[in-house]
Amino acid sequence: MLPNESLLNYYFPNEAEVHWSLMIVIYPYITGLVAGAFVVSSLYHVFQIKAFENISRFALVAAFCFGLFAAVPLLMHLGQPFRAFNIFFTPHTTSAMSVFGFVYSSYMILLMVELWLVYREHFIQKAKETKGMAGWVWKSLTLGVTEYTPEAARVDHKLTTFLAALGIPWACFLHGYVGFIFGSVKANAWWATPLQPIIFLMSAIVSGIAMLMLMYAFIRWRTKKPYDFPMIQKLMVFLWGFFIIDFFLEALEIIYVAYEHGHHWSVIGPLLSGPLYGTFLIVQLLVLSVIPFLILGYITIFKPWGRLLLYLANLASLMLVLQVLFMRFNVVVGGQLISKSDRGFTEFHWEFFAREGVLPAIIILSAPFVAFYVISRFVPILGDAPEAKQ
Amino acid sequence: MNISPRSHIYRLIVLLVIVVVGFVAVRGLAIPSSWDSENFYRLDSLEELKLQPMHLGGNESCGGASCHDQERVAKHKTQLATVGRGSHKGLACENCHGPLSAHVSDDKKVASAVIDRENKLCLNCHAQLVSRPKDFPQFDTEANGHWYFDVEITKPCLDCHSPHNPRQMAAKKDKSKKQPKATSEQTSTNGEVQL
Ligand code: HEC
Ligand code: HEC
Ligand code: HEC
Repeated sequence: MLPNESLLNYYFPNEAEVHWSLMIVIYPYITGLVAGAFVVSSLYHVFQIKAFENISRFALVAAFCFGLFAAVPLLMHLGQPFRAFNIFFTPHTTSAMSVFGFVYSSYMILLMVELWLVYREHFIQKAKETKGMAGWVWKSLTLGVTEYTPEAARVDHKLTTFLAALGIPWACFLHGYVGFIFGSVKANAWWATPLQPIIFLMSAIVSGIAMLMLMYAFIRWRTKKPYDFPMIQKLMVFLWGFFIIDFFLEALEIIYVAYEHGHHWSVIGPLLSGPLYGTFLIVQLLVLSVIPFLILGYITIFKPWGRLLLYLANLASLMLVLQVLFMRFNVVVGGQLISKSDRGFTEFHWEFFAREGVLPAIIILSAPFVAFYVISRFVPILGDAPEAKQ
Repeated sequence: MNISPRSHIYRLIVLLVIVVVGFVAVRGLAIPSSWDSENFYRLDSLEELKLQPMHLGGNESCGGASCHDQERVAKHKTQLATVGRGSHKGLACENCHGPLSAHVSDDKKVASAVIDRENKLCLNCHAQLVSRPKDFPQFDTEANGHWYFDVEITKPCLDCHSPHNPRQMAAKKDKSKKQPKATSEQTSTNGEVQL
């Protein structure tokens, strides 16, 4: 009847629709992959974990690819995407989201500078080899400095280490912030906890490591190159460690609320035994957590090798990647299932083709991999042999 | 040529400075001149909003508050009175009949107002939702009247309910066998039947 199906003189909360839909589910998911992948590269650059030397560059490129698309779901979600820049131009300090804009963009700049330092030698070499238009592109990437001297390499190395070190707190900040955005909504019993930023951060690192493992295994398999088993073994140990922290923080939070039996429980109890029973308790906490936990524990303690290690690592990683996706869904959508009137629960309606449906979500989630593929056509990402030193 | 091992860093810094200066410059251009950074809105927008064409007229306009031709709105006055008697008295006519501007412009009728007889119209406000208070009437197949007449959600609501005064039977309409018989006391003056 009236524009936008609006109503006059009628003011009950209309919860026929869950407003923060799938797009807001995959936004923290992709942001988490950025933070997680970055941590892996920093483990080598800053914490000198030699096993990750061969994948530190790969992790950086992957983080960059995810970063490119981290904000896309938000743009899809906004009714007025062209106003997105307003939060940069006139940010309000009381808005968590507007500060996130700056955290995210400064982080992307840091990532790009670090990538640039890592790839400078390659850019210079290409600029010298290539003629014509492409040559100019390579040349502009070198910023006109076409000599790669050992002294310059030393400077680069120092700066890379510095940026990687700076990047760790910044990545934590970036992803902790996403948790903060939810955790600070005091009206929502399912979100409001000071643990939320830490839970988000830990699950981000878990999903990032697991996704790197899957990508690594896939690329090696496609290009028929040998696998670096000591690296995989080490990576799984770290994955296990981070996952233990993540899982127990999350479980602790629930157990705490349940034991405390405070006013929050009157909402969270029915939420867990009702709408979230399947996706949270059964899928996220039971199937997708206990099995990978056992697999990773087995890998860490009994140190399997070869095919077995590869299969187990991939299985556990796949489950954890899904676990974190479910976690994002359970947090974002789960929280909104609580009626704003606290009288009960609303329903989430799945859409497929709609602007915020499953199809756009799949397209956005696959975009980073396409970007990764495109970038890998131009620059070397993974060394040839596991032992290859770059 | 002997260049400093840090020259690329210096160039990078220059580039970053250009980016930051560019951002500040674009920001300066993008912020509207009447932006009020205390209250976070564009002061000019108030004047612009005032210039927007009026779309809604409110219930008085349906009663012909600003009409020259009082004859033609006589029927509306009856409807206004009917709505005013029933439980829909708080509703805006325009919720169900569309905005005034689509119906009347410059004191001339430009098109008939919308009449929507779909159930969706009623269910917009009367579908069951947890957020609606228990005492707000929500469609329920088990409710006394509905259970008795086997009402499904697809059955036209207007077969039984008058939209203007939903407690009353819709006037005219089909005489299905289950429809309750009106007794003389129940029949009100305007031909509608008291349920
Ligand atoms: C809940 C929705 C609703 C509201 C509110 C509402 N109407 Fe209606 N109105 C209808 C519907 C539906 C019809 C068509 C009824 C039919 O023909 O079965 C209608 C019909 C009419 C008609 C035509 C009647 C006829 O016999 O042709 C007029 C005139 C009218 N409404 C005026 C008003 C006015 C004036 C108001 C505000 C005081 C109002 N309506 C409020 C739903 C509504
Ligand atoms: C814009 C919202 C809105 C629309 C559209 C609407 N109603 Fe209502 N309806 C109300 C409100 C508000 C009340 C009053 C509730 C109260 O008294 O608390 C009400 C009350 C009722 C009642 C209860 C009457 C009573 O006294 O118990 C019935 C029956 C009803 N409406 C039927 C309908 C039908 C049939 C339609 C479709 C033609 C319709 N409504 C469209 C808002 C709406
Ligand atoms: C077969 C006739 C019939 C149809 C069709 C019908 N109703 Fe009713 N409705 C009734 C009767 C009879 C009552 C009981 C009135 C009473 O208790 O005073 C009623 C009561 C209601 C009430 C009030 C319940 C309350 O708590 O007071 C609402 C709301 C309502 N109907 C909505 C609808 C809507 C929406 C539709 C269309 C989807 C619809 N009805 C279709 C006959 C009907």
